[in-house]
Amino acid sequence: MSDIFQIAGVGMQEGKQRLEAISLNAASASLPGYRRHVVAGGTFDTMLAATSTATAASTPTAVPHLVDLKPGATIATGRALDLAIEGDDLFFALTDGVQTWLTRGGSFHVNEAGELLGEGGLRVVGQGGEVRLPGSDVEVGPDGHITQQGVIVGAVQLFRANDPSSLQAAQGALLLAPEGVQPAEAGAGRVRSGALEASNTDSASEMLGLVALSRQFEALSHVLQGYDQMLGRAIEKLGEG
Amino acid sequence: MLDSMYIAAIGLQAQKEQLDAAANNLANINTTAFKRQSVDFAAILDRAPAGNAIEATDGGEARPARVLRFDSSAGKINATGRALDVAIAGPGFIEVALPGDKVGYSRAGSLQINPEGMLSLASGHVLKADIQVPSDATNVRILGDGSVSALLAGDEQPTVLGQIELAAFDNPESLVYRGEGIFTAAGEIEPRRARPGEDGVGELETQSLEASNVDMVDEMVSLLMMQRVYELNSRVAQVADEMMGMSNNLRRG
Repeated sequence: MSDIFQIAGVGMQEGKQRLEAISLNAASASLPGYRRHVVAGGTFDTMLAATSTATAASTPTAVPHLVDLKPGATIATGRALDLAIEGDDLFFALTDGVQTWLTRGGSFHVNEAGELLGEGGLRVVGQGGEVRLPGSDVEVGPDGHITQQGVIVGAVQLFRANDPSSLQAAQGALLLAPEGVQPAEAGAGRVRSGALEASNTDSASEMLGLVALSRQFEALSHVLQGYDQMLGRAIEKLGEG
Repeated sequence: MLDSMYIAAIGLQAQKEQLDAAANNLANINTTAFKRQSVDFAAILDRAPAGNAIEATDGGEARPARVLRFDSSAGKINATGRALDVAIAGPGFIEVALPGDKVGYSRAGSLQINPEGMLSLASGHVLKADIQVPSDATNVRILGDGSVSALLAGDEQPTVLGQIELAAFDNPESLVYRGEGIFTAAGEIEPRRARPGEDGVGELETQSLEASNVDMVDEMVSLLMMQRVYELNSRVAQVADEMMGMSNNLRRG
């Protein structure tokens, strides 16, 4: 009997998650290298099954956000350690020593110890391990080699996800590759110094998603209210009998 | 839906901070040797209450809550013809004395002689090189090698009063801006010091000043962009609010 409540509930929960993805996309519209989050809806059956087996009042387990890998525009910054990747499905890898993230956001800086760091202070994985530089006064070539006054002092490495379709969104512009990563073959892509890739948030589609979402939510709330009234009336009438 | 509102709020705040930086850049477009500032976006968004949060990393402490970042690229050098104006062509900085025995680094080379006769920056900070110009000296000049000379009363030949050295950093981005065109070094980092033209610290261009490296067109374009992103974020917050309102009113029929 309460199936309809549950169905509308699932729809509203899912709407909430889509709203969260849209709000992240909007907030990150100027974050270099950001890839739009997309809520993988899953089939309705599985979502409903998940709610009915779950204990009452628990929310369906949060679905990881998948990402839209469409490349963003390239913006010139003129800073040597701002790197944009030319070539699809290629990424920089950042690590904290335990876990590795992929990202298209190539705004790197050098800390006091000379380590090359990316977003969130994570270390950049270069050719043959971490990259240590004598300073930030360097040039980066298209093949990723970092030179200081003509001398090679390090190299950044491009990576490829083993399964690009399974990439999950993590914090900021970072992506998680559950299937693992592998270094891209030489010549697969180029690194462009002095440029950054913009976020691929598309304000028109976010706006459309937002309008559709609020209407869908409204419709579902009316379904709930209508059904609630119907139940109320049924109880009333049957009680009179 | 509260999450969505908080995220939208962070998006709005990020745009506001960017706007502050752009306004500051535009206001300083004619300031000598001003370095353009920008907001480190990732740093703002790291505060977002998103899932999959990153654990604190070993490299984490190397990144304080420094959201502002400056662009260390050089500005254009313009000739002024004034004897005490110097511009630095290269990575070097002029060292100045700050209160509490600290050292500041500046590229704003519009030097002047303060009432006590000390060579100082236009902002009043005395040069660390400690160059005293006697009150009766005339024809004070700064030469390309950094030496300061003047014609003392009664002399035929100029006398060398002191030497300006330049200080250069391997990693200029680690400097912290403290206003008035002066940077300080983070931690215990020591620059390499040398006379102008030696050891890669840069040449001294006399009778010239370095312009700011702010590009008006770039700033205007980013202003437009910020306004639109701000709009999008405020719309998201509005829809989240409407949806919350609908859920709250479910029972009222």
